[in-house]
Amino acid sequence: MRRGALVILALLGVSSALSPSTYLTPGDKERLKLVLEPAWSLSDLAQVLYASAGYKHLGQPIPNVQGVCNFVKSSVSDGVTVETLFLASSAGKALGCPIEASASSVQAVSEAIREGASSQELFHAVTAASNLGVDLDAAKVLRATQMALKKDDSVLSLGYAFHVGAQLRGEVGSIFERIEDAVVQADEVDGRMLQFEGGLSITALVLSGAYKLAEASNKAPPIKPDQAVKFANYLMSRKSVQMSKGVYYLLEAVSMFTNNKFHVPVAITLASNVAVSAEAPQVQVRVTDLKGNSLGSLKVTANSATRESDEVVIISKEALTPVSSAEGVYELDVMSRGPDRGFYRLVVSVDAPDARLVGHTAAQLTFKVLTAIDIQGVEIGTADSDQSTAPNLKKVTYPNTLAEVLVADQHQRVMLRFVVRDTASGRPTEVHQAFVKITHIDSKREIIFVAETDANDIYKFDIDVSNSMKEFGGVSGVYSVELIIGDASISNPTLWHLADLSLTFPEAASPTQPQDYTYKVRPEIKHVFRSPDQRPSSVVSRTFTVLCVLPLLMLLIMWAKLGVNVANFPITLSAFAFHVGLAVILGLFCLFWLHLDMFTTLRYLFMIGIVTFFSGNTMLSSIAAKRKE
Amino acid sequence: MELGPLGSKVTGVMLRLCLLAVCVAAAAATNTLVLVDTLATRETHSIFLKSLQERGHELTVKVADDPSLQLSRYGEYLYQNLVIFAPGVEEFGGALSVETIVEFIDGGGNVLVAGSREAADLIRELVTEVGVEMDEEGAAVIDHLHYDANDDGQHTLIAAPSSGLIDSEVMVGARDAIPLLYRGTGLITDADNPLVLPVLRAPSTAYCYSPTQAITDYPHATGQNMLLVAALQARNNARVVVSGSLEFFSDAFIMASVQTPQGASYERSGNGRVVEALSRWVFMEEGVLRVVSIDHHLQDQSEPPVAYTIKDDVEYKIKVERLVEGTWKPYVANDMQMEFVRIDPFVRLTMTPSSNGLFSVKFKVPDVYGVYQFKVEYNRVGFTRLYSSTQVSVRPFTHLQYERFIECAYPYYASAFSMMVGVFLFSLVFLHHKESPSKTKAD
Repeated sequence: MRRGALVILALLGVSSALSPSTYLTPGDKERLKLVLEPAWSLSDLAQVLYASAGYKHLGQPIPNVQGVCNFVKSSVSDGVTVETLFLASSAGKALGCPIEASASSVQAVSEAIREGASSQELFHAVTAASNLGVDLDAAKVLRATQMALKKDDSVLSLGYAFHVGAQLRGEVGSIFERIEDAVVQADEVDGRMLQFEGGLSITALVLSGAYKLAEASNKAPPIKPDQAVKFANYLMSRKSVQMSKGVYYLLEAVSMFTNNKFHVPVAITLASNVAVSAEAPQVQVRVTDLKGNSLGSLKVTANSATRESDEVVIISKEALTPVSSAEGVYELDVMSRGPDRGFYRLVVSVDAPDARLVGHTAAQLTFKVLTAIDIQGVEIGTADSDQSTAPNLKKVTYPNTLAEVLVADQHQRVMLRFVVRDTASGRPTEVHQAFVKITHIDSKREIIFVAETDANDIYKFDIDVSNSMKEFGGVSGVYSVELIIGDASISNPTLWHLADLSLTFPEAASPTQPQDYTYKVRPEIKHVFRSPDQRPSSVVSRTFTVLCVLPLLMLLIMWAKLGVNVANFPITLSAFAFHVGLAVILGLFCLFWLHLDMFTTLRYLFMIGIVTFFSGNTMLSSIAAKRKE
Repeated sequence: MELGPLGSKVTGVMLRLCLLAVCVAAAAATNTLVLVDTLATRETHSIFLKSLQERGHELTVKVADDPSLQLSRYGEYLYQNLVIFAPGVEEFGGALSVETIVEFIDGGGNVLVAGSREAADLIRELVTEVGVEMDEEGAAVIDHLHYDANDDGQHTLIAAPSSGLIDSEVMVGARDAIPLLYRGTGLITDADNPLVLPVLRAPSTAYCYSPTQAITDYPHATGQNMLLVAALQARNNARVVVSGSLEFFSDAFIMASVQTPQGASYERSGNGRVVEALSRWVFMEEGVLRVVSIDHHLQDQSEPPVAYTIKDDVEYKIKVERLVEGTWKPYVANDMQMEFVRIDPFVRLTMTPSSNGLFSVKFKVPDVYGVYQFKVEYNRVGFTRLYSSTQVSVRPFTHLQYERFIECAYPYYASAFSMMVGVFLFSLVFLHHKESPSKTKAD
């Protein structure tokens, strides 16, 4: 018997463990309001509808209602579309200033209800008609809707049809039957959410339509309670929506889920911080609908509280006591049971006096028990690698830093040992993070080591300086040694600078790497020009100039003494031409030296050379002939 | 793209008009493909996607295993940018694969990839191709000293201090003190790879490990050596950003408030600002430079000569522009350098900027002739690599350009001229000398 009950309980636990784990918190509501706010610039009718309906759902007063009403009214004139009529009349309804029906609008609405119209158009027309107080021929609407669904039976089209059906008086069973068709098309996400393809607006439209239609026809919708919870989970997962249209649909559907005759999902959430400690020993649970409203006084029971790491049960079947200061919040003192630190799974159920409530059994919540730790028996020091001498360890107490700087070289080891003690139980304990961070003070380069426990839960950290040269990059210098103690279930995670350490690595071991200039300014390079050779003094050069000119002078003087003459100069053109040519060639060489370039010089030389050559030839042959005579 | 097919015609038309206006404003719309695990991502990340649209991106949102996916058609890329917000995808659909995405990057495409703790092997393989390694499946970044108050208890919702952001305003925007929310896996990169940039480093006290298992092995990533967001700017200027957290870009994190265990609280996380700046950077809207013109000439002239002569005084000018809000504006910086290179740089000087984007430098050509290049190579964190080289030849002095009338060379001049005079006179005398008859007699 008892086993049977346990199995049923377990099944219940599995099937409804998906209670909505969140609701629209005041922060969410404020954010949604901010998304809607820009509509009050009154530039777009649709935005005004979204904002006025959204504000109504949020329970917010609408600023400047009269102005908004006037804007809505002014947007309805003769010849406007049914869609505009729908937007304006719905906005008017939400604002509390109904639009009055005019002859042309009545006509437009009734004309819109025709066979061949899409279900969206029908939805606009029917909603506008009901807002304007125009009576419609239900049978005609129904026929048109059936036609529309035949043409397009997508989820979206069905969603509009449900809204149409909900607003009709009379028999709408043919539309009601289609709810099931829509629901089966929902996709499951992660096993805990249901949505329709197309996202938030379609899902919300179909849901609100289906429930409204079910209410109108007074029959429970073919949606199972766990499906309702999954839909609610999806809506809650989308509460960070940023488009005003999305906000409008979200709020429509959430309001529907808080106020309908069939399913009201219950959000069971932690009201207190996830962490429970000696200072805050209570686990508080909030039981609300999706909008965060209290569901009245309920009996809330903690089925169990189990430690996740070792499945130790600390609480089973205990009632939570209501908190007087906050409605819908229930609490349980956990710390009085002396729990070990760690994560606990709390399974909470709510006894539902109201049959509409769903997702209220076996909601799983997680809390963690925090305890403080302290670090004791801290000893840091050095020892020789070959263990020839006893290690030289010094005691440090938290939060002090060792006054002296430890010195170690490649023949030594650096050792650290400490105990992490749970202050609540007084026993040594293990933590998730027990790291030793060693930071080079100049370069800020950090190296992190993991301290490990031995059999007695004493943490040890031991490095051989020569073996860990690679980690340190062989960089000698002063390093700071910091201890990081952290765990998700301790209340005082610690970063403690406990000592400074001067490490010396052999010089050769640290090869200087070429500087990397990838993203940096490179050093400037200035070209060093070759310096001119040293020149002799002007006295020397002048002396030698004179010496060089001397032979010519001596030649001239000796010729003068010898009595040189040119009396044999033949008075012929060729003789003149030859000597003048020779002189010009020599002159040309001077010009070449001064400013002519090679090719110009060669050209001139060629011309003068020919003249000189032939005239010289003629002259020499005439001289030779004369000599022969 | 419209977010959701629902909606009245009026807003639809308005939306389209707005989009059109945006498209016209951003002269050439950039096509961006967004791959997601489920279409819900376009709602959970709507702020990010909306900001892309507002900046003129034509977004195409598709499920990552959609069989119609393709990046290129007839050898041309259909998209300039690719966003992969699909950490769970086991295999890409259509023509997409890790190889095609790597080819896309080689072809200059930009990619933004987000992972998660449970990222599939495919995403890990992809990020390995760009020099980033994600930690093992199931490992999460944990920091017991920097977590947000909304954490679920495991301290995996990190409030990363903004001091971990890379020091580059171009990439992550102006620096402020607001922490960034992050939940996901740690990234490991090779510190010696200069192309991979640490956009966001984890705090010193963070580590990456499975939060529910005791630490038995040394964690793959610890402290500041672990990256949360990494970026690659390839040598072809293609940009890739890898984040270990998809939620980093989500509406929830962008709109969230932050409260640190130390008691500091902030109304909004820093994510929105950083995500905006980072997406601008990765999609080439920020930090893009181009060379407009190059000019070099002798200092007293305006046209470049055929060749320079050694020891000439040369002026080199380069005009550089930077893309600011879609238009090219002059770029001003005082660390632009010019090199005059013949195999090795002979001269390297910092150029003087001016407000119209013109950088100039004057220098003397080295006294070594050969084929040189004016080279500007500007590679700064966050900016595209700017590279320009112009080849010129440098020749030695022509014989006319040497110094004339050197005093110490006077003996040479004198001997040459005396020789010339001597030749002239001697030829005259030798040919036309007439022996005096008396002398002949005497002989």
